[in-house]
Amino acid sequence: MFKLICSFIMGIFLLGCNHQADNSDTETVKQILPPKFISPNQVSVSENQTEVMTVKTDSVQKVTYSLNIVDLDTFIIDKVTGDISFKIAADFEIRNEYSFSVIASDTDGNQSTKKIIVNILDVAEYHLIDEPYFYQQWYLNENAEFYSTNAIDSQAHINAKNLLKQYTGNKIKIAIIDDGLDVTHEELSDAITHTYDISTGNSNVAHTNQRDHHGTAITGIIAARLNGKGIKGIASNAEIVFLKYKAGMSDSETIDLFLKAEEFGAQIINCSWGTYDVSQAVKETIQNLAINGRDGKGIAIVFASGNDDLDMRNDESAIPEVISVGASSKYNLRAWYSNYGSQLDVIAPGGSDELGITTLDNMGVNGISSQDENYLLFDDVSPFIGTSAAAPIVSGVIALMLEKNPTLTRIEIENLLKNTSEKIGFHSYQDGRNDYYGYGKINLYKIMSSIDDIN
Amino acid sequence: MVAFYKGHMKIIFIVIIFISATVSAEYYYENNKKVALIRAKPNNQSSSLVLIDYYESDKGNLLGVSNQLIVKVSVDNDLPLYINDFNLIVIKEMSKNLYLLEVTDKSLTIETANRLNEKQDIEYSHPNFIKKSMRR
Repeated sequence: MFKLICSFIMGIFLLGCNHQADNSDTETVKQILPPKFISPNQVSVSENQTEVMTVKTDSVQKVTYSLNIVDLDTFIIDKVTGDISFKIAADFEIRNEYSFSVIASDTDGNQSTKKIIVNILDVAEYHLIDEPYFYQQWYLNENAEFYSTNAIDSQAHINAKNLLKQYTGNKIKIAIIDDGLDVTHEELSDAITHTYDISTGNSNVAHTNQRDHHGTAITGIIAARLNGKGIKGIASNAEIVFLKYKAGMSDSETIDLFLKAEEFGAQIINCSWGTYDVSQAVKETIQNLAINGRDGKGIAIVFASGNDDLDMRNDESAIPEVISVGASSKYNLRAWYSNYGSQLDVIAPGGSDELGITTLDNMGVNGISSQDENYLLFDDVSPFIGTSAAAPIVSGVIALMLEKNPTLTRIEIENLLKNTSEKIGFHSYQDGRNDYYGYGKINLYKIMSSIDDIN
Repeated sequence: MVAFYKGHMKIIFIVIIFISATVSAEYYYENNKKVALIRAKPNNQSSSLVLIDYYESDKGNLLGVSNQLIVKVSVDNDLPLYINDFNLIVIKEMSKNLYLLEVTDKSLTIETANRLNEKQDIEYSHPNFIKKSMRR
């Protein structure tokens, strides 16, 4: 019996010793444990986007992240932050599941690896044909039936071909300085990133009366979403910075607006307005942004040349560093109203009373449209026409150019526009240009093909 | 007698136009060149009560002038000296070496901008013009 009790006590003692030994082993092991992942094993992401996830570990040491070499064809990882993204946005219809192995290494050389599965979620997708008024967007491509019905010259468009499916201005930021914007428009959801009103200094840029539909119309030409409604903007995934001006604006307020555009990160600034008499300080500010903005690559600043059939004179659009845009008509000729001059760079479709540019109107009763209350159609009682319409076509095209090659400088952009333009009209071109057509009418297909040559 | 009267009236009329044009005509500097300004839209109110005076440039553009002016100074400029001399208030530095300034009375704006423009260490100076931005 005594023997039994001794054995029992000894057993408990030994158990205690073992337990202690286990604890000390754990301490030792903890010091050499590799970083432990605290991220999920599986994530779900929507198609058509590149962001996947950010991986994390519990390590208090500095950890460096990397991917298994076989995954590098598909994914990109930020070795410091652990941000993982697709090289090319996933398409649910092509593949709905991916996996990759991520490696975390600490400063002691400890490593751990984790396999993560990525499920791709299907997102309702729209195609150009789903946009009810796309057939009216005669300035983009030829629609045989619409062209025939409206007696439009077969070359009156900018030759977009299939490029509007391939490029959408994704992640390109365009500032629009104009009179007001219907930020609630069904075509602009998620398009607007920053807004600012020079009159109030706050972010409310809503139009103050029906006449202030201009800014909404301009924004639609550039950035109307591909969403099964209305039209498609040329850069339908671009980010829009909207800066509301006022009709009687001081030079310092004009300067403030351009500096705001830069502050908000605009790569392109669209100005479908002008004063015919730019002050020296305003001119110099615009020149400085066009030369030194965008980290020295230069902001592309697009101005409409004006609708008075006059020489541009001392207008903002006549600043040499600005991209100055005149208008063409359905006849593939300069529109009769389009201002001209030695600083005119290019022309783009701007329409005429016979055939307007279909675009957005302020929603509902706040607009001026006579047919569809949310849209200004090509044959509206008050169609949207003018160099105001031509300028945003060029701004949208520049967004596609920058999406294809974000490193293009402002000068390279200008040269691409000029060197690929169609020499239309009856005026002769000397050294590639004349004062009525500039370097000619822009041609999107030629522009994008020429970017391949630069690359 | 009538012909003599008509002749004198014509001369007097021309002299009146000449004097009024001479008195009311002003100018500002653009790229160091003088641009003529002609006072437009005379207001019935006392001038001191109106915040903006309107002028027409020689290009036919309507320009508003308040009590503010814009000055671009060169690197070695002694702006504080001019601020003191011309009794100016600095509203803000808009960008590097580009200042928005204010004079005590808008009747001094054009003259002050012109005098500053003539200084060696000032690149340019002009009123903070108010202009109509026209949609296109």
